[in-house]
Amino acid sequence: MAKAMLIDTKLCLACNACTAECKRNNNVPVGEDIAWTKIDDIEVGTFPNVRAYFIKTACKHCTEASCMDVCPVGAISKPDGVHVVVNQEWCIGCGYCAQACPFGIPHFGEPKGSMQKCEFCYGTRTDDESTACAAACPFGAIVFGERDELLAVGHERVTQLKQEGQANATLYGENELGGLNVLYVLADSPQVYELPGEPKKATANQGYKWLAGALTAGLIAVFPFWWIFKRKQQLREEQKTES
Amino acid sequence: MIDWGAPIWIYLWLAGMAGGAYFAAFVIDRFVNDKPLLRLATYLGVPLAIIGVLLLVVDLGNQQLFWHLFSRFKVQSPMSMGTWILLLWIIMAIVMIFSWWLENRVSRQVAESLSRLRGFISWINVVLAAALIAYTGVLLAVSNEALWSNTPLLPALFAASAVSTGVALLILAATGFKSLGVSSNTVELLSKADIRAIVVEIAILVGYIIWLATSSDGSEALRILVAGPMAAAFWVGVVLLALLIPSGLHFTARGKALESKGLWLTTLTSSISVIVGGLILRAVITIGGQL
Repeated sequence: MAKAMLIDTKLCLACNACTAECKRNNNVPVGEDIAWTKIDDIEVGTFPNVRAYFIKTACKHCTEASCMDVCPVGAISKPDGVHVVVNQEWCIGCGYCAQACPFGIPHFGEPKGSMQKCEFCYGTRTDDESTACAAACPFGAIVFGERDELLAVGHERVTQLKQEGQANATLYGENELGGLNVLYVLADSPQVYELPGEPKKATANQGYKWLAGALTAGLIAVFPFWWIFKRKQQLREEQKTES
Repeated sequence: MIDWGAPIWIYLWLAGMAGGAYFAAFVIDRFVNDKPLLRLATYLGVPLAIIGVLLLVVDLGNQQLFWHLFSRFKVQSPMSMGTWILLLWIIMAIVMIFSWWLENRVSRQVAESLSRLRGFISWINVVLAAALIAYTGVLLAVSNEALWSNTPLLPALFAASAVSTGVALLILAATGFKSLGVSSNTVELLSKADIRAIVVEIAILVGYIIWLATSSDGSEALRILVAGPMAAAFWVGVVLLALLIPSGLHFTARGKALESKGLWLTTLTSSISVIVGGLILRAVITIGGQL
């Protein structure tokens, strides 16, 4: 079974070792514009009641992957059935995946080329090895392993945090979008970490959207003309009866 | 991060006008038999659609790989569907134009067969045109940008805009190029139809705004549109130019003689206003959704 990742945001100190190691391992150009993983620094509250939250942001490898659904050329796939991978030689750089991703992950580089994102170090590690970021983290905040085991660890951690007074602590990613393969131990609600509370698949309700467009086209083009035509016929008949 | 910029919203406007003009011309031709109008719609639509396609290719990160779009027909992806709809519509419209050109150069029998074939193709093309104008909105609606995807009404709004701008374009071309042979009765019909399309567009816009305002993550996106960075462009470009000015001009034009210069000027101004407003609508929604 392909592995998943557990990120414990309460253990993260934003040292960015993961960011640097990811870039090195995947040959991502130096500079902040493209980072397959990065640490978002979120401040909550006003002085003196301020808190900072750190969250490692990268592709969540969703079970219901919106990017894969909308890609018009089929450049995005799950070769091992779980991890979402981009074929950069096939990608045309249309940008649709960036609009579809519930987490805004896909990057395109400067100049705009193929889409790039975390691929769980697909192709640069064996099945037994860890991802570069997990291996780099000095605090054990990133763990790469069997999803079931990570879920159990994650739930335990959340229980612990709640006992320590973090009432809104939660495990994010268990069931969202069919189950994310990046699980987060959060000390507060997802919205505080700028994560969508109920992330949606981009292609949800697609049928209704097509229908709305087609019906409107029919309604607008036919109704005004049909009405005008009927009016003209009416007027013509009135003229006939008058004469 | 604005991944979809000017090439995209200009393309959406062009594709909408091409499809909307054809759709309207086809329907009018069904009711009052105006073949010059249908011809005009194809003559206008094909170059607009081709320019739109070129803009799309220019916008790609890997332009030389654009042909990958034709490697599959993926129903789940509106972009894949749109690629095929656009390709087929353009090809069919070119076939129609070619058949008109050929008609005068062959025997009467062949010309009649051509006419029948063209009639058949024109029906396929109106279905494609309806799909095209719906697709311009579906492309944005099938995403995770709240302004685009929170309601199913964006495809409805863009379809309405496509027809109103398409009809306005037909009015401009028909009155600007009298030699094309579109009758003034048809132009009057187009004007009346345009204003009714605009009324429907206003209703849909109101519905769209209300839907966004009452949904949880839609209200922030709506704020960007009506009170935030896009506000000036929205209120002036969309509400005023695309909707209120043409409506106002139409009501002041009532009662004016059909051939009067005043009416001609009013029609011209109104049509230009609708077309420019349509472009601004696509721009503010496309940019606003990515902010």
